[in-house]
Amino acid sequence: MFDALMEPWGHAYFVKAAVGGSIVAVTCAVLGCYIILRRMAFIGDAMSHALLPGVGIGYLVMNAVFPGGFTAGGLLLGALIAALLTSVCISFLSAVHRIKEDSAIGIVYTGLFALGVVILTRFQQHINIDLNHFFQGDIYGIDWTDMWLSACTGSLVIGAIVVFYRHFTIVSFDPIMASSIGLPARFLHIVLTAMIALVCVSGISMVGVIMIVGLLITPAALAYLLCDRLPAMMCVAAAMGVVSVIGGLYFSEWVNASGGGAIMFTGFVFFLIGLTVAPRHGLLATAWRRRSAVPQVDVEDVLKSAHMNTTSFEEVALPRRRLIRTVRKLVGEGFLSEESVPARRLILTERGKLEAAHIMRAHQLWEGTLVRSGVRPDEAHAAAEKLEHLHPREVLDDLDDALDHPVIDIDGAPVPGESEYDAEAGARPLQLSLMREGDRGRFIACGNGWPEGTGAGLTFTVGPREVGATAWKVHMDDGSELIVDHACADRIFAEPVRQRYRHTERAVRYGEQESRES
Amino acid sequence: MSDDDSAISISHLTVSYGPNPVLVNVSVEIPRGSVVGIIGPNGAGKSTLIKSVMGFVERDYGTVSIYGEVVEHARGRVAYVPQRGEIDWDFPVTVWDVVLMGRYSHVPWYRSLGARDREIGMTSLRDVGMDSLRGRQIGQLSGGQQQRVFMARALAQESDILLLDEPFAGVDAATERAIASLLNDARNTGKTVLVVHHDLDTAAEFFDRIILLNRRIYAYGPPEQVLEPGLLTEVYGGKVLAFKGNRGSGEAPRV
Repeated sequence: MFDALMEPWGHAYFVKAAVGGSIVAVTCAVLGCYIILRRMAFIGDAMSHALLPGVGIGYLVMNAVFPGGFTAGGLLLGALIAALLTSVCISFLSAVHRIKEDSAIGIVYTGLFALGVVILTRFQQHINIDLNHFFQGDIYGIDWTDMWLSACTGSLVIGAIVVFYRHFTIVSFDPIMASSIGLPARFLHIVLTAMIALVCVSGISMVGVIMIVGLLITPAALAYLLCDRLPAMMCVAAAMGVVSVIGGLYFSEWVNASGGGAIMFTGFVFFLIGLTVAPRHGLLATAWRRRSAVPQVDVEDVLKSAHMNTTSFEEVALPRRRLIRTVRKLVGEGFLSEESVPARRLILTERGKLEAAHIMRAHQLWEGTLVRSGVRPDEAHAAAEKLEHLHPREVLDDLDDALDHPVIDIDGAPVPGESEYDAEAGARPLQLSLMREGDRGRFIACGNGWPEGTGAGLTFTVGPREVGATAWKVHMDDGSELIVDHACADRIFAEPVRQRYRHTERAVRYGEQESRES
Repeated sequence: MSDDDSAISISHLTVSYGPNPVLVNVSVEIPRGSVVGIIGPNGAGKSTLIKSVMGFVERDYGTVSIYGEVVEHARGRVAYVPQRGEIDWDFPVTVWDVVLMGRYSHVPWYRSLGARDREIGMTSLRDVGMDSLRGRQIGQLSGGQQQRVFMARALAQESDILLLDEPFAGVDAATERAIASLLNDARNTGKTVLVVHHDLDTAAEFFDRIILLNRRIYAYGPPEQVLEPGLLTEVYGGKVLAFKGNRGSGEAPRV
């Protein structure tokens, strides 16, 4: 087995192919990271094809000037000019009304490629470039010129990327900031375009025009699935490029197929494997996450059960495994105490109590609203089981207001007050109408002037509702009493006075929660 | 025409995208140490105004100068917090990488970032309360946290002028507080801040002056002068009904 693996390395052509191919693959992969992040993949594809006329004309010119040799320089220069011409033509055409950028790319590259085909076939006897070779490359036939060419372009491109890493990265990530600190965004774009052209020319003789695009994009795309930082992504992409080349060469040896095709196909297979098993962005990981995600509906149902003192795991109406998963999530978010799992019953934390009361309140207010619109109580209850999951605070406050701020629901159970629940906004002012018996507060503002005996800054305790729960009674700290109707209670704003744990801290924790879920 | 106290001085600025004018003959002087809000309906050219202060848009006519210098020569004196929608949140950079970008303009290309740059980056992150998440890829943060990261980047630039494009759009309470305190700190340290803002209700409490913009400047001055119902109706058409006037009359005051 080991011998079989080592056997090809005994042949000079295999070693040369492996070394040359790896150089091209590493260069392509590193540059490819910027190409896919800048969404230039299609332009890269276009550019590689559009090189053909440049290469052809460059060859003709060099052949005329230095008959019989030194054509590599001409090829490179011609390719560069063709690449820049391509990108200029594309941006010119895209600026024309009714021509979108993808149409522009399609028009330009086929046009220039066609020109190349015409030149190559017309001057067949003068140009030593075979169209078939342009498409497929011949990795086993590379000579020292190809090797030097790719080594030079490779070190140039990678050197530039290492030295100007910060510049390329910020121009790709945030071009507006880049230009505001004086970086030449347009020039850097041209440099990247030129680098694509250089890399294509150096690699075309090995793997051909189509597969060079594959080497630019596929390893980088795979690395993007695996990495969260650009330097890591470049390293992984480079490694994938080399692995594809070596693996592809073995593959082509064993099945006796074209080297370029075998390399790119190997790269493609590696990509598919990576796509499936990538730890975070891969298909399996995504599917697993979707399967094990805890639906918000379950979370809220469990909280509501806990609020209604249905706490033992056996009594909660949810399949066991879903329940356990939901409980774990709630423990992680700090709504249930850690004791809950070993004790096999729901134990709400302080935060959990607030959240549970909020869900309960949503259920009761929706139910009340439905009953008021004439829905039969049992139907209203069933519908409220679904509607309760719609519970933004503003919505509940509106329902509450329309129901004249009930203190008991249709079954006579107490409706929790809203004053306890202010996780988003911190201690925000409340309307007096939203406060409950026993709440303490300090007046801060009143819509139409203060009623007699009140004023900003005075503290008070809310008393029981009067007159069939339609009048609000307030005991002022100076001993006087105040009774106001619903409209007036809506206009008075007070800040709750109570000992609660610091709201700022809580709001920050909520912020973090959000990101953990996403 | 720019007087010496101006941090940003814009005169007769005219910008168009294709045949459509976006800004027409905009002239405004932003004094040093002031916090100025730009309000106006969608498509009023608010972001374009900010981008022209950074020299990012091509002007048809007019000049923009920063501390008396033409904007093209004043590169690096302006820090910018982009609109959330303009950033590719999948880009493989971490919170830390983004904050360090704020130091790029201070380091020549042949040198790498030094210990001082890291220190400044760390302080900026701490100022917005994001130091504990600095290893996160930016896409794994909540909207408010993302906003705070870019604020930290702007702080790390140590510029005298801060430009913020819709910083309050869709953020949580903690971030709103962080931005408000950033505006305050900036005012106290003599920085000049220009903020694109969409919420008329809160405009009065954040800004010293307000620019009411809809392609041209309709009003520029202290909030009580600009947030005038007649003027707002003219600029916004009928869409201003939701505006309840200055807070405190019928609305709850903020805490």
